[in-house]
Amino acid sequence: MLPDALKRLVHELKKLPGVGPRGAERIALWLITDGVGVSSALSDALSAAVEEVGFCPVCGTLTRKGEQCPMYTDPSRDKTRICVVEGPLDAVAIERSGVFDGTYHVLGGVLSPLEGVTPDDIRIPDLIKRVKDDSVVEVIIATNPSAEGDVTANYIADELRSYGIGVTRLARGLPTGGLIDYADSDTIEKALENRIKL
Amino acid sequence: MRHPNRQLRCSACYHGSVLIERVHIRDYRNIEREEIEPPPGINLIFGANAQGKTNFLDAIHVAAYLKSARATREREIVRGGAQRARVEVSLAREDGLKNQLSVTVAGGKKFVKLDGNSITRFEDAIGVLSAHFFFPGDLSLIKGDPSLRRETLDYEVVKAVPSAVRPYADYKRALMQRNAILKRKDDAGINGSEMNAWSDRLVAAGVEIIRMRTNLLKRISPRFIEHYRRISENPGKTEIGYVSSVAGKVSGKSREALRGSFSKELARAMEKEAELGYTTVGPHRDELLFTIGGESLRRFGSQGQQRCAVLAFRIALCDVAREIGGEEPVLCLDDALSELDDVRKTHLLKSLEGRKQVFITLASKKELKLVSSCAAKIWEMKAGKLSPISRA
Ligand SMILES: [Zn+2]
Repeated sequence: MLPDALKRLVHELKKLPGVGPRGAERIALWLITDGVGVSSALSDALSAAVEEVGFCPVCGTLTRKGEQCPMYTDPSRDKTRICVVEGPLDAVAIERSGVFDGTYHVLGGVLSPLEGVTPDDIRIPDLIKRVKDDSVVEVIIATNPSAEGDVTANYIADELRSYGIGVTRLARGLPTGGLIDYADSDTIEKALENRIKL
Repeated sequence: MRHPNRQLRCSACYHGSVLIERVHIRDYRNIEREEIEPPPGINLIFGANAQGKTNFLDAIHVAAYLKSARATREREIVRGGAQRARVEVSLAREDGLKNQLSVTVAGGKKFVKLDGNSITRFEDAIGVLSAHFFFPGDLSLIKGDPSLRRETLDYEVVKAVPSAVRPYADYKRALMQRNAILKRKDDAGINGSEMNAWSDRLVAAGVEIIRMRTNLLKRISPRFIEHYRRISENPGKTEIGYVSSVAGKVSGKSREALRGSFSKELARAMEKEAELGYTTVGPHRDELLFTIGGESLRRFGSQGQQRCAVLAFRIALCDVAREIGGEEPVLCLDDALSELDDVRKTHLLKSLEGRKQVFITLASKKELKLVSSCAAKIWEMKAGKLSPISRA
């Protein structure tokens, strides 16, 4: 039914996360009609991104291919503090807040034996190497507050115990702008646990 | 990576005693079409065998638990010749809230509506009508698998303490993850620190579960003993014990002590578990033990004793739910009187007086005389039709 080239485009678009068969057809059609101007820019951007973007060999953050990330090379940043996150976008989110001037370490996942993810799969050995090489004084663990995120945090804390450095975990509690009567009881419990003195 | 951290549903958002204001049944077993408005208090349903008394209670069971207490297959509950069976209840709560719940079974499938909205996650509708049941043929609470007793108790725990869903979910997740490590068969063997991280999680959630279970049991136990004493022919001292696979006697132990002994048991079981590929100790292996005169009721109790124990336990659960949850469940007792002598019949009925709503069936005319003075309303079930009987 569809011309072969279009069929191929739909076939590839369907592989994108969150895009179903109908969506893929609509996007494909748009790209070759109304969006034709976007298409060539998109295809350029796509090949450039694939060509040029890679992961920092030290931190695992997004950066130019084959280079260390600016967060690590910037001499004004504190290499003795590492913030450990699950994925590269978590580092981006924390970086956006502009309040952290240390460096990042992207695990690339969390421990989950059910899904076959072991400590060796998530760059924990690399983290330990950094702790030694950069004379790290504090590791801040910012994994997600899930069962796997918690266990991964505890595992890392355990592994780092013998190095005598500070290991902390991001506090959990009420979101800014959130209303207490809308918060679930677990959030309130955690917020109470982590309350601060005024 | 998936995060199993979705907001868990609060399964006990309903407070205040629940009352069935109206029951509407269509093509449910032998009940072709019936609609009644049962009053609060004791509703006595009288009728000869096979007229549909038990079917009526089972229909209420469907509204409460979204499944029959008896049928193994859904289609068995549809009246012969009909396309679908349907049970609809109108509920009123003490706080003024009303709910309309309907369950339709057609073509082996179930369709549930709550206040006009279709429910796809059935857990959301289970317990909207909170009710406890006694069917004399069902002694599985005593004789069945230990998991059945745990589930019964856990269901009550979550109703009593809604936030308990979290430790239960946590425990289940940690157990699955831990078992996945135990099942791992590679040369590297088991990574001790990785195992410890999951074990700690298992222990933390598990200890909360053990504590919540035993705390609730502490409330249920005296009531159970009291009800059993009153209705059993041959009392003997009955007890419900919590047999922990990790902590021996639980009562009086602090959280820390429980954690310590759970961890120790895990360490002790480690070698065996690595061979078996699963976790062998923990609250998922604990047991609720009914005893009489110190002996297992399951192994040494007579049918009569076991039946009395189930009945006493169900009534005790209602007592405790009223006491702590604020919600008193509807109590449905099928043919609970026939095996008791007159003194005990009166005892049982006395203990049911003053309850929000009770449905109790009986088969003999003789019983009717004895009990009619306590009943708020008497119904006769004949060939699937209920009709009110005026007091003699
Ligand atoms: Zn870097």
